[in-house]
Amino acid sequence: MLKKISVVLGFLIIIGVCTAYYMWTKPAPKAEDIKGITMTAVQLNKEFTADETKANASYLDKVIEISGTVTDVSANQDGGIVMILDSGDPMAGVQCTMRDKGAKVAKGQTVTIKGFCRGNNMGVALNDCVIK
Amino acid sequence: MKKFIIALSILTIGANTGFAQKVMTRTAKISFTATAASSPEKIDAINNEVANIVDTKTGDLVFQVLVKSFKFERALMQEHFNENYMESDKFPKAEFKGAIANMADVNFTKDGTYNAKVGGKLTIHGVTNDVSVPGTITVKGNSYTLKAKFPVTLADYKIAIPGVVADKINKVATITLESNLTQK
Repeated sequence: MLKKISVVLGFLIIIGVCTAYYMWTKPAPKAEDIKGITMTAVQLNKEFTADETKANASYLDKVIEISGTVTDVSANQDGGIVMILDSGDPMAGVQCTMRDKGAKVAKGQTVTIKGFCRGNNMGVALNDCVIK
Repeated sequence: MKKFIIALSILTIGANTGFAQKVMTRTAKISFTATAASSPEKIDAINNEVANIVDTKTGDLVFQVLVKSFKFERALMQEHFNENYMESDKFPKAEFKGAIANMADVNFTKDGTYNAKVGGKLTIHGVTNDVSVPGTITVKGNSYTLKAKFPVTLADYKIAIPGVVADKINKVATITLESNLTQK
């Protein structure tokens, strides 16, 4: 009886340790693995401008498959590629930070990318983006 | 006619400087570390998507931080940060609104590095506190770099640390900020 209990207990401990290890080392979710919400940069900006609380509830942390025209490409302080998609409001373009530092995008290009929506600060921001 | 032209040019210049006194960026960087001395794991994160507006005339400053933009090395840590500590679904933004208190010592039109005292209201996790933060402002032509490093006591913003991890997370997080702005 005692033997049985210790076998079961040992088994449970192994499962527990494995789960904990898996949880602890699990990788960050990738945009390409998740089905995105398809929309244009103009549409997304419109929703955030109309009702930010509602838009946050719908889009925060969600993957968005966004399309638009690149109006600016720059690098952030850590060398990340940041592009701005035309949202119809020149003061609040949709800002997309690419996951890959070697991502090739050019001003004037029309692109479709996938990324995680992080909210609205002077324009909607997406990060961990990949080119579709 | 001459007077009219002079008046017009004064107006235009006035309008131009009026327009150009505000500079902004959406790629300022804020990082923090909250690693306790006894923690084997580093608890730190970086946010490269901070928005910052500076009024070079009045010294007014605004920083807007999307909490969900903080990136951790471990995905699980990032999840816990958002769900358990910052409750970022409820409070997606942190914000600082304030001004340079010693504008007399800072000259945005002359190259150099100036010590700035910044005071204002810092909102994190839905809680607003008055803060005073020292920093530096470097002016080089039409580019400005703002830097600051300051402590934030988590309890001041009602961020609770559960007992199990109390020895891993420092009760005071150190925030490091750098914002590069260019007058266009």
